[in-house]
Amino acid sequence: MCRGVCEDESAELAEHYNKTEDKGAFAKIYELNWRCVRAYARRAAMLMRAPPHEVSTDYGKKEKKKKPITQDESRLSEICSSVWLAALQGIRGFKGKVCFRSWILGITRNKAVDDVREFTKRAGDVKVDALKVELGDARAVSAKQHKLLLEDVEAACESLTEDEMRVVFMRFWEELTFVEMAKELGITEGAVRHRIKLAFAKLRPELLRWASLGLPAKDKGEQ
Amino acid sequence: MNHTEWNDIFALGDDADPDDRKKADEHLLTCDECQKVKAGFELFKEALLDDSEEEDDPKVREQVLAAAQAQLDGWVRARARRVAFLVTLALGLLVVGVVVWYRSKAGPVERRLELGEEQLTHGDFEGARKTADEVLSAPDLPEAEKARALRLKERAR
Repeated sequence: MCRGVCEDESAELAEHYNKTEDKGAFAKIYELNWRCVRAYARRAAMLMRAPPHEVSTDYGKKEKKKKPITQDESRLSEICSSVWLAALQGIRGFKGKVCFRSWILGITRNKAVDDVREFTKRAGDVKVDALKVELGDARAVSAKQHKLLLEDVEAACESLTEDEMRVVFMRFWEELTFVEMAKELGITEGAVRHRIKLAFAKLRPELLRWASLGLPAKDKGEQ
Repeated sequence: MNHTEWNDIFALGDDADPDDRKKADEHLLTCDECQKVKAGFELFKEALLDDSEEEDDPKVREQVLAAAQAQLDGWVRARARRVAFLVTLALGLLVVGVVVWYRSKAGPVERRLELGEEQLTHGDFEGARKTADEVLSAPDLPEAEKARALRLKERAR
């Protein structure tokens, strides 16, 4: 269940859609949730240490340059499409027991992980090192705005295992309780708590560094 | 408590024991390092949850809304099929009911004549003749039935 004060307009709209079969209701659900679905798909792909892959150029040629999934908009669009189509298929089964956001983000996580798993199989021996992102102009913008970027999160999360990252994402993005996470992952609640603590402990040095500098270390150095 | 233990309480957030949380909040007021960890954690969470720079892909939107429309059309078609099936079933039952009722209403002479017709159809001329004779031998036979029985006998000859 959503832990925050959750008005859950989307859940009401889903119920309305199922009852009245009003296309407008689904369009509104999409409007309310596309942003978090896309953002979560981008992050959930990190769970599997998504390998980069070749990118097609405008001329149909394969570029040698590798692009991590977190920056590959067309691939993210494919994941988002599959998430929404799965949501459509399952919407009659959505009974409002969990908040809509948690429900659709659960689908997003699974689809993103499936996509990366499938892709990894095809990509074969791509090295994880290739994941590291060129920061470039985006980093300069970040320095001005005094905020962390996804790349910083990605870098910090490199020390976490896939299981630890998964509980962090489920906790903060899907807003699941420990009991719900335990059920979803098929482990005990104690194990979930342990993973969260472990993840937090691993992140601690980076958290300290960010807070000390007020900015990610590299940015501060650049200023 | 050492920093690691405070760290664990911060990690559990709202799910930590309320007493521990209270102690942790008090500790935060005096501990510079834990304040930094907490501040760093807020930065981390903000970046992790930040979706402000996402842009919708119009193709995805179009595809999803088209799929929603197709789903609704599918539901309407399925419902129409269900209704058509139920109407057909109801009509079928009605027809069967009417036939049964008609047959139950028809008198023994009528049923004998129908039997004679069937026998004739199946080439049982002998049987049809006998049935016609049986009908003709009935007392107080109305003129219409008598005429039909005679026609049947004639055709069975």
